[in-house]
Amino acid sequence: MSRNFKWNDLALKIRENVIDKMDAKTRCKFVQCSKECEKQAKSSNNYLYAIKILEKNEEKKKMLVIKFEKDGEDSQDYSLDFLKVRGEEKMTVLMYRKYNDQGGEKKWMKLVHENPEVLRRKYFMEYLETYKNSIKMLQILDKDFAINDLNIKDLKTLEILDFGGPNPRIEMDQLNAFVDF
Amino acid sequence: MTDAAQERSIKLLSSDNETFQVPRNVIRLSNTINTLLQDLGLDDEEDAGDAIPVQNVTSTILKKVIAWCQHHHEDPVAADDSDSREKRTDDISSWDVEFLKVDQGTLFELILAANYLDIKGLLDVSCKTVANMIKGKSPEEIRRTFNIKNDFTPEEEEQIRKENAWCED
Repeated sequence: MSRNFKWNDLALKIRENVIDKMDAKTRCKFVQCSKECEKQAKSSNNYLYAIKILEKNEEKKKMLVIKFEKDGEDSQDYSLDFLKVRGEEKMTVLMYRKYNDQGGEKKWMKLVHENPEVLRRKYFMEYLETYKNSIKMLQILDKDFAINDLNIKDLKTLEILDFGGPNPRIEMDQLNAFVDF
Repeated sequence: MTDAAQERSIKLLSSDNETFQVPRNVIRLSNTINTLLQDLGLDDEEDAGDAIPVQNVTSTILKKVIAWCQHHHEDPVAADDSDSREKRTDDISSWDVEFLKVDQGTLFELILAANYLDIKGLLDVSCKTVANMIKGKSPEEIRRTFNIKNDFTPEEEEQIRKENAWCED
């Protein structure tokens, strides 16, 4: 009785609604389906955070950027976890953390609940492991980002910076200054 | 809407010309129908008159939509779906899970009907069901499920695979 539907038979608004319901991992699979899927999933502006992972291999630097962002939302609504690793190769990892109106961490938990292990351990650890021999300094801009989670005891120098409070806020302009890609 | 209006029925006419008598307080879940009745000044009328044509919805689907509304018409009004609400895909009620155990075409038609009739609860739960259908599938499996054409070049595909490698188990 029913038609053989295709994804694109659904109106854009509905497709966005479905994408909005996907967990982060499913979304990462979905973006790999086609250019249109990639575009839709990355531009969906409801709840789920566009996950943008850029990896650049250039002669003089290696940079990895992970951004969790919500399109169209004022960056001031976000606090920022900033983890910056410098070495012979340069690696930068940025992670947004969203707080609720009271400054609590409820939304942070929501942001990562789909896949916290990947975000907090596996992914970072993989890259830190990869580059640990070239890492010379690590700066962590949020004490809440537990060092134990990163398990980087082998690093030669560890510097923890407190940028003026438990929930340091960095404007997008400042952010861009850190990320020179 | 007055209490009297809620007790009344209205008639809906499917795209294949089948008429359905639906209690007003059941179809209130459709913002489209609500708005239509209000705009036409029929909200408080004893007799809403002729059947309202629901041109984009077949009788089979409309019957299911009405069944869903019948089951959910006493649900509390959902809060606005803002970012402040926890969003999950595993919170579909067992009744809805059973209700949505339909073939993919029917599910898509239900979504289209829920969208057309602006029934937010049904749209949400059916979209969640589609999202859950995708869960755990590889990109190739997702393409097959939804007839999505892979238009990446091999290089592009490799690049986007690398970008999303973190989600691999």
